[in-house]
Amino acid sequence: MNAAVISNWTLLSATIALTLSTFIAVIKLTGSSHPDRFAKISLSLTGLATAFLVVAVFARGIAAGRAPWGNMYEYAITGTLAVLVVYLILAIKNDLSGIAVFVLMPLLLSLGLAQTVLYIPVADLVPALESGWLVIHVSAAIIAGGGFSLGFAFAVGQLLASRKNSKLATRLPSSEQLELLSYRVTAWGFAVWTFSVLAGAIWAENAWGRFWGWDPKETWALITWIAYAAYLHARVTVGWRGGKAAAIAIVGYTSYLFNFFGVNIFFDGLHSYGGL
Amino acid sequence: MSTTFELTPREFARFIWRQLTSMRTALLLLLLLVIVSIPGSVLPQQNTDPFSVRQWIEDSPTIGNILLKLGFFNVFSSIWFSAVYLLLLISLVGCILPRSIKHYQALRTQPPVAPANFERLNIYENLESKIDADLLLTEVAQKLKQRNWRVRLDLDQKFVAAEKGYFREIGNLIFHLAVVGIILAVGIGVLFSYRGQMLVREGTAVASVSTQFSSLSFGTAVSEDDLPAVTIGLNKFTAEFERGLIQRGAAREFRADVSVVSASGNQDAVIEVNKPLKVDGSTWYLVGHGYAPRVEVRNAANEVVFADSVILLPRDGSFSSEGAIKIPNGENGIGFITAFLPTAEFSGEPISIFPSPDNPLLLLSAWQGDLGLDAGVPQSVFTLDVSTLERVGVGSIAPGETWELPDGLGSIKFVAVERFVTFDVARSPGGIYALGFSILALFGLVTGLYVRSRRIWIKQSAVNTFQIGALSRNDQPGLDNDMKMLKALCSAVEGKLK
Repeated sequence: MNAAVISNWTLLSATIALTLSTFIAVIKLTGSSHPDRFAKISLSLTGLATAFLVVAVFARGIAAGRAPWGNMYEYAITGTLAVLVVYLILAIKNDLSGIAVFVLMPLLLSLGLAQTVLYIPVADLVPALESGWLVIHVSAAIIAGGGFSLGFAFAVGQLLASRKNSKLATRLPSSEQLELLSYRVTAWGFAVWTFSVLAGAIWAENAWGRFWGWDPKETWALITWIAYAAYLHARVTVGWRGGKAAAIAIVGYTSYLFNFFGVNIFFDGLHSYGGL
Repeated sequence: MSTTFELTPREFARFIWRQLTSMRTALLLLLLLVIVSIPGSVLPQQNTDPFSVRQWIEDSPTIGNILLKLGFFNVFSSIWFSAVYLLLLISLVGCILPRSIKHYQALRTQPPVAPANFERLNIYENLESKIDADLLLTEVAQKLKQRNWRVRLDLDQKFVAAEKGYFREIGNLIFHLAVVGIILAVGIGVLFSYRGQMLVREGTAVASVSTQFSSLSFGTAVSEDDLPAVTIGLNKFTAEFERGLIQRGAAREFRADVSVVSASGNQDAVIEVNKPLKVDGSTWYLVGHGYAPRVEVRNAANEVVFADSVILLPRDGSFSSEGAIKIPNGENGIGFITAFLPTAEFSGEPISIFPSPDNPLLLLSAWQGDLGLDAGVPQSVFTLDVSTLERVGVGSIAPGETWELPDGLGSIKFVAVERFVTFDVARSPGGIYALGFSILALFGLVTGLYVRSRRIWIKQSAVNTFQIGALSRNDQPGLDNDMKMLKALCSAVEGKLK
């Protein structure tokens, strides 16, 4: 068995573990007689899925002989891993079982899309990507994306938890708690995103002779950055705190996702490495 | 009740300024900036893709021309985009400068007095101690000072106030000022930058003089005189493509071996995609390549009238390339519309199935007449206007082969497959300053987000009873650690004084 095959099989195993974990988290959320036990089982399965995914991503990197983020498929699986790792770290100190579904479902979707639509076999890179900056620029984008994804999940949870007369709201963590969690991971993502854009600009200067050229990917990276800057400001502006700030965080995440999917699918630019 | 809403011009100006520099306005301007940026990525832009812009306007002229007038094909230098970001910039500066002054003053004043009601703090606790209040407070204040807290000791009102984390606000201020710095560096840098593109055939050399560039643009503060005297000869160009089944035909390696002649000396160098060449302040980037088949054309008298390589423009990923060969000779000029297929395959129409020259084929369509080159009307070297020409015939030749034109008009020989490369030549001096400000911004951002700004107090509330409390001025966890630290200090002092 070669590394590429190991990667594919462990990825499938991770997906199965994550599906079970999500399923159990749903049962826990919709009300069961043993919520704590279900929460524990779900968290353990999430840990198992993460372990499988670590192997899958590493094996993919070994099979390709380079950092495993040279196309959309690899970005998606590595990005999912980044979210899971941050989620598990947060879960050590915080009880996240009430919000687990909101984190796990999008991740499951991401892994599913990766294996169906985005999948491409291992191949070498085009010369434009052969640079040390690939490791720095793209890994930072992936890590920032991990923060944004969690921030998004918590922000959605926050909006649901703040609804009055909602049965679901009573089972979620308080909206204040979710707001704070959402802020922490998003602010962290924002700082790393800033670094990623900066590293990208240095690379662009090195590869294309300009550090900024309004390429669609660059434009949407900036739009994402500005949207999250707006979110950080909204949190400290009277009249915008809470729900409205969460809505801006969701706008920011939408533009991040569009930068990943939309720009690769709809626009022709210098960043067309997706492999679609 | 009379006209209380009438403002003097001065009051009005102050009102506008206050509105503009408020956080709410900054927030709305940020969201507005998001919205006005979107058309810049959805519609083709003149500075990056002028061809698509022309195409767009041709396809839908009515809407296209309206959009063109409104600046939608030039979003990032349009009036409305500039208006939003300039307002944002003014709002930012107007907000940050007063805040800087305020923070500077805060650094020079004492921490605030203990609150009357500790229950309003994030955390508070009561502490019993039989130790003399003045002694305890003095000792605690002393210890806090040693731990780099800014301390206020008030023995009249019996409290100690301490504050830490001033770098949070300093980081915030640095971040925002550095963002202004980045925008200025980029804006001013553009004035001093130039950027051009040139096509160089294998075995030839080009000098960096304006006539050699296929496109060249200068910032306001520089001109042709600022181009360095550099000549670059392309000795050899290597291109490798994926031959495996996965991503077959994808680019794998591009490498230009060049000889450089410049004021600072002569050298042989290699230019690759992520490895540009820096010469005398200009930087040379390998941005593209294509085929330039070498041909030899003979006239009816079998005399060589043209022998050179001809640049053809790539049309697709398999490097099917198109262009024209023109040999003017008054009424008897000969022109060829040319297509080159690196790996030709015949499945109906001949097409190229791989970008490397595995089965090269030159397709030619020959035309005769006045090519119009002497008329002084500029025309593209890549197309042949056949409206006034007479068709001679079509042929296809592999390297080494010769096509004899009908009616004894002459012949054309495909001598060899050669290539050309496209170099971008640029200088963008603002980059290094923008980088400096970016690093500063990043430092400010992390400091502003992660330094914990907080206050703690200890106050005698009754005989033998003290209140201690802490207030977080940020959203970072860790306030309970400060509380623990303060309690530990108190008991240490107690132990020492007993």
